[in-house]
Amino acid sequence: MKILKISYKSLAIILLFYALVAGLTINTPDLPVIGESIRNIFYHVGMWFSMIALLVISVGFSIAYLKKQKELYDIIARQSVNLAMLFGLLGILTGMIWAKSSWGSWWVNDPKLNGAAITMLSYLAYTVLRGSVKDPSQKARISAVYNILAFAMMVVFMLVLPRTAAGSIHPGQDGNPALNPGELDATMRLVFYPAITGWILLSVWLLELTVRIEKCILSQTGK
Amino acid sequence: MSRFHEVSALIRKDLRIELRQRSAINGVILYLVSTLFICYLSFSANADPQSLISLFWVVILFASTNAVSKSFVQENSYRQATYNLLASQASLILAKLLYNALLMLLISSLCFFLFVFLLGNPVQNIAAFIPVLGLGSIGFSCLMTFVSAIASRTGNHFAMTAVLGFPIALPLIVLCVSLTTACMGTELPAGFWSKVAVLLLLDGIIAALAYILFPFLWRE
Repeated sequence: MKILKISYKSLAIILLFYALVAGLTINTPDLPVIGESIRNIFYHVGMWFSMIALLVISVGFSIAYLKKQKELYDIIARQSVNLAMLFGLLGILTGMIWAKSSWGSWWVNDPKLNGAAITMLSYLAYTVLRGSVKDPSQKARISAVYNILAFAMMVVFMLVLPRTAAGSIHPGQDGNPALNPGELDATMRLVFYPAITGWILLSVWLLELTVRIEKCILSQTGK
Repeated sequence: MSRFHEVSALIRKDLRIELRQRSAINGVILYLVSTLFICYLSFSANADPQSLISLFWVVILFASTNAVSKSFVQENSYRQATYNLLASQASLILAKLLYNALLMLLISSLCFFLFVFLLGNPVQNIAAFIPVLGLGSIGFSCLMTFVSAIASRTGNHFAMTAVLGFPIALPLIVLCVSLTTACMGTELPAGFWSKVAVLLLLDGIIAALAYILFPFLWRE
């Protein structure tokens, strides 16, 4: 287990280092308007993949909490949401920079962008909900219930919204929020997949750290 | 059979409370009238049908929040505890979901009549719009019922209902607005009924989640 832990962390470092170096140096197709800014795909899309991965982890542990009532599950669920919000914020910031350079404004009224904002809002509501319940076990239970509801609505939103809107200027179709892998250039794919994997591994690593910190704080105040 | 008896008894109880304390239902009706009158005055004659449709669903969203949010706080906590003892959790939530769905159907049809009266009718194809209105208001009532059940467990019930409910009500409202826009002309666009089926499915998902997750909220 020890070896496995070290290896996934070093894998994250290696992959992200590779994504950083190769992402800035490889030859990218020279597309109109987007130009060199296409390299942002290795960083911006990674944020969203990590956020979704963390939210999936979170809802999984919320379900597990409702079944087993273990405090650890609640800590993992909450810290995943916190980290997912961090990645979501970074995703919005990297996206805004990109939008300014290729679409000409920081924010456009687009179903994908609005979907991201709404996801952030509903999980910020989760944080507010946690703040407004006093009793710890009730807090864990009620927020787990809301987490499952919010996750289900988020999935529905991702599937429903692109189909109802007139069109989107953001890449990706039919509930795929990021992009169509088939459209990606072959050389770019060699960087894209390792970069995504690296970001997801990094987010799991961060999750492990924050959960460990939370457990330490809990064991100190508990006694 | 006992489930059916429990649910129907609980619905009758809610109905009796509603009729005895008319203030709640009168409050919602007055809320509708004054909101729509404000819309009438502020939009005057220069609103296009598309904005009217969006406005209609926003009014419905707020009306459902208003009408449904009292569900779990109108009676004091001792009585709530008594119901928990007498009836099963599943019957409690089923009764609330059904009762609020009926209430919301009534309120949203009233809202539509008032809307047409004050602001004009943006929808030409009424026959196609009726199922959209019905399914939409059932969806809002189920979602808001469950959210108000969650919010009633916190210290700050009314503010929390809006904070928790509005972001996750978005799939519903987007779908309803897009379906209503499709009813604007007399010809229905292709794929209209499959989108109505999606709305029905969404209602089902919300009701099922409420039914499954509700017992966890009340477990001490």
